[in-house]
Amino acid sequence: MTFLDTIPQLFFAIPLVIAFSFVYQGTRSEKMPIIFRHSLRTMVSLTILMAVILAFLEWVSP
Amino acid sequence: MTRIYLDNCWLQSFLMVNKSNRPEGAVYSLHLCLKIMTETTDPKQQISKVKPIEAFDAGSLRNPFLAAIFAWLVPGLGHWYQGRKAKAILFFCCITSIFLFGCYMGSDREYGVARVVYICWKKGETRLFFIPQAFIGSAAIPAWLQKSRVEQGSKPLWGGFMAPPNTGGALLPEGNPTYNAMIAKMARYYELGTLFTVISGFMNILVIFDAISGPVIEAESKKETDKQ
Repeated sequence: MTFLDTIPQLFFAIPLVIAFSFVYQGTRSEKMPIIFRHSLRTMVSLTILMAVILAFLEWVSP
Repeated sequence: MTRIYLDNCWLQSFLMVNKSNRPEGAVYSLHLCLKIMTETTDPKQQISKVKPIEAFDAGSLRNPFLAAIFAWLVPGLGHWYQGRKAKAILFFCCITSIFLFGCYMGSDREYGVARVVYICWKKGETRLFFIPQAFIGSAAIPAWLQKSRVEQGSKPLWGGFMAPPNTGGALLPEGNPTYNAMIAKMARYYELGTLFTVISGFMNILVIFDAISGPVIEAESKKETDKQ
């Protein structure tokens, strides 16, 4: 059993959300403080969106 | 009376902010206007509160074509070449770490490293995931070499690094696993590794476009300012 086996599958989304937020906002601005501030907002938005989708899938699954 | 006053404020601030006719510009303007309306009710204050958007001159970018090639080769290298070093470091760290983590998850002690990044165009076993993975640039180049070796029946190099599995039930090259064997052994890490490497490739597409034409909103804003 490796270290990765101990991590719940849902947690693998965290690095993806963080990296995507930085890269996406990095392509929409040139100043670092703005990029960091907007990235934080994107992270929260993405997490909420994914939580809603997860809740919906849980609800429809038998 | 209040309604007319509010409508007038909204219209003025909307016209001031919405300089472009594009739909996303209108949505952004609406967002800004609603934000202003919630903060104050005086029209003059509302308009003065509209913050100018950060300006960026896309024409000042150093050789966008060459920067795009650099950005494809190594994520962030195009920005480094253009002197946008902070963004270069940010892009390199984010994209490379996700790609390497994906490669790590798609590795196996028996089968080799990064088995989720490979090329296979054979009918029925086409690996379409390689299309976004190829945008990661130089890191995906070994997959081309391994593909030609495995197709000729030669043993893959470097312990199977980025080598395609044996297709169509072929037994050669010896020791190289089939697709089904890899799926069975790696289980969820095969899917996760594929997902991570694919997303890092997609992110590098955004970075390549940023190296060519600069940031999205600022470039749009500058164009509109020039027109006026």
